[in-house]
Amino acid sequence: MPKNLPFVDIIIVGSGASGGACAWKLSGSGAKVVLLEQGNWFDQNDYPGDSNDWEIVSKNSFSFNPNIRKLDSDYKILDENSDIHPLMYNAVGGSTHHWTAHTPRFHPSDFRVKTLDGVADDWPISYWDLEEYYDLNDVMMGCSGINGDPANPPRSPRPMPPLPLGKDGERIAQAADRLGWHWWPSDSYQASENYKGRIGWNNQGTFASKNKWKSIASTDHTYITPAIENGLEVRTNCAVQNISVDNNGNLTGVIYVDSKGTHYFQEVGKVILACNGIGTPRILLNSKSKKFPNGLANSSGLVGKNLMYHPYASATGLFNENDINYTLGPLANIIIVQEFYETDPKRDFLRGYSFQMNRSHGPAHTALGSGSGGVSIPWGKDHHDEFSKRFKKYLGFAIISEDLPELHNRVEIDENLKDKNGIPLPKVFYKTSENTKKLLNHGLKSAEKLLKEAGSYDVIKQPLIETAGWHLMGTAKMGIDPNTSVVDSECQTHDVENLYIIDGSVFTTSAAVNPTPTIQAIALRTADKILKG
Amino acid sequence: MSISKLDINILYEFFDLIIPSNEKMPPASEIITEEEFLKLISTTDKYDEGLSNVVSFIRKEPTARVMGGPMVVNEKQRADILILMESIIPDDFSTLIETVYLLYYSKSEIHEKINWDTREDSEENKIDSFDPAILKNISKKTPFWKKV
Repeated sequence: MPKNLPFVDIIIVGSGASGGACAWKLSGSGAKVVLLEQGNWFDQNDYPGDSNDWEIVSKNSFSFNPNIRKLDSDYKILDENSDIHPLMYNAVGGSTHHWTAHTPRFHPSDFRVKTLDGVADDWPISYWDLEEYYDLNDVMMGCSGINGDPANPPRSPRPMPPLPLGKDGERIAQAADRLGWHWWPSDSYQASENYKGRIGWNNQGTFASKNKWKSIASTDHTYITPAIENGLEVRTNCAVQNISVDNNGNLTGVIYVDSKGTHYFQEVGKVILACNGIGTPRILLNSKSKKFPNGLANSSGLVGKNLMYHPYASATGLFNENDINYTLGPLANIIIVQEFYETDPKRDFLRGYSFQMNRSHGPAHTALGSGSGGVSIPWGKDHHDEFSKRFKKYLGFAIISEDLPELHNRVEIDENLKDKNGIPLPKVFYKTSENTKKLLNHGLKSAEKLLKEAGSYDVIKQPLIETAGWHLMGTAKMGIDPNTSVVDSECQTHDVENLYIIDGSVFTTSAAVNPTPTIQAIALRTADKILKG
Repeated sequence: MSISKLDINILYEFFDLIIPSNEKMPPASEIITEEEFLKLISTTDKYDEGLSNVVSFIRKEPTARVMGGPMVVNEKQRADILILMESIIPDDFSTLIETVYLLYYSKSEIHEKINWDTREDSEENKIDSFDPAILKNISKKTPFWKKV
């Protein structure tokens, strides 16, 4: 039997991008708020960098992939049936410890896909409903960027100027100008100046620098530390097993297990799930009861369905010039190109994509294929020549596609395989759609054109980056109709009062940009709605 | 970890075929120590299955068996074994390649030879701050976001 714990007003499960933001907003309200996190606090001095073996660490214990990393805080994801491998980091701050911090916003059109293109669904909220929360989040996380982007609505100024473009970024910008294409300095939650106790990028060194990591926002510092000062309680190494309801379907509490294997029943008034597009449906599907035999909040049958990733393709351009070092500056949040963002009826696919410029990687990653379409450079007598052609001489574009929701792309629970705490594991099913393949193919041709315009003598294309499942969305869809969605416009589940979901699970559609600012804006808005009752 | 010391000795015989020397760069066996290789494969189980399969492939390969074992085949025969391995067990072969490349390119001697300098206090590693003048052309583009 689990140990009973005295009542608290609100439990937030997960302390990453959304959980941290929500916890801060709710803290200081007078309510007793507890944040449960399955990982531990993360020491910024543990970031790999500044040591010779950082590439070994980044391929193993600091891998993006929990199935490779296998830390105590991780659970295995059964992804054999997925074209793309899901990624996440589990610690206080979640995946904001392991990201490039590239932070574009959704476009207003992203919330109206059904109206504009006749596919998927419209969101029950608009860009304008989120705008004030986007702005607040930019201040809290610390956004580097600049106003005037013609691809996006006007907005309030970012608190910091953009990160340096570098000579290579300028080369791409000038090439885009010659083609008449859109480009803009990337918005980033990497500080370009010292900001709220965070050191700014000092225009020195490569992305491998440890200080680079420290200039990137993570919610343990931006949100959770100030929330603790407001009275938030954080419980680490606590894995949630399920959420309990009574026979009438009313929320009663959360059952979780700590690192010693002790089980607790935490009586609670409201529960807010912030565990990402795999962790959240995992908890809901593991929370079966008489009232909810198919999992909690799942009367629509849509919990776990409509998994969206943002499939990526990559085009890498090789350059001859030795006067530019293509490793200096941030790895990825440099320039965004949104020339092909909206649906164009002349194309053979719906919706669109963004390009994100990225730089040359370190020597081991280069040897292992980061500059050659994911294929390791040859071994044997040609090895050194091939390495020399690539090392510090490539830059490229990641093409991030809008991923339309499809029911067969989904998260389920494996009833037999369990983690170390005895909690059933998630299994993921995902097939890249024909629309996405056409879209990415178009993106690769466009990227090749831009790279050649910039002077590349050879462009290597990777049609799908299988290892790029950074963005986990759609598995507890937001909507008006309880029959076709899991949460309402304020992120409360249709089926269970006082149960909320605030991570990427609630995305109705995915847009074609990184989701974190939108996830955090939704989390802040939800907290605001809860506070206003 | 399921790799024995003898297994590691067998793998070492192939390292210089994977990364040979040239006039500037040393071969893999001069750079990767047994201790480092052991450390890499003992801190994770990620490489266990792949490297075990690689060793097993080498041991069972007909040329090696006929010649009296993998330690006595000549360089040409070892190269042929690697070519065969790459085509028959590509995933396991990739595991071998990953370990060799990671260890080789993580050494300061190699970083020096390929001019990989991540020091923040290096003048060569300084880049200029963002200059808004670069926005001159793109700023003239008519806003094209959809108003919905």
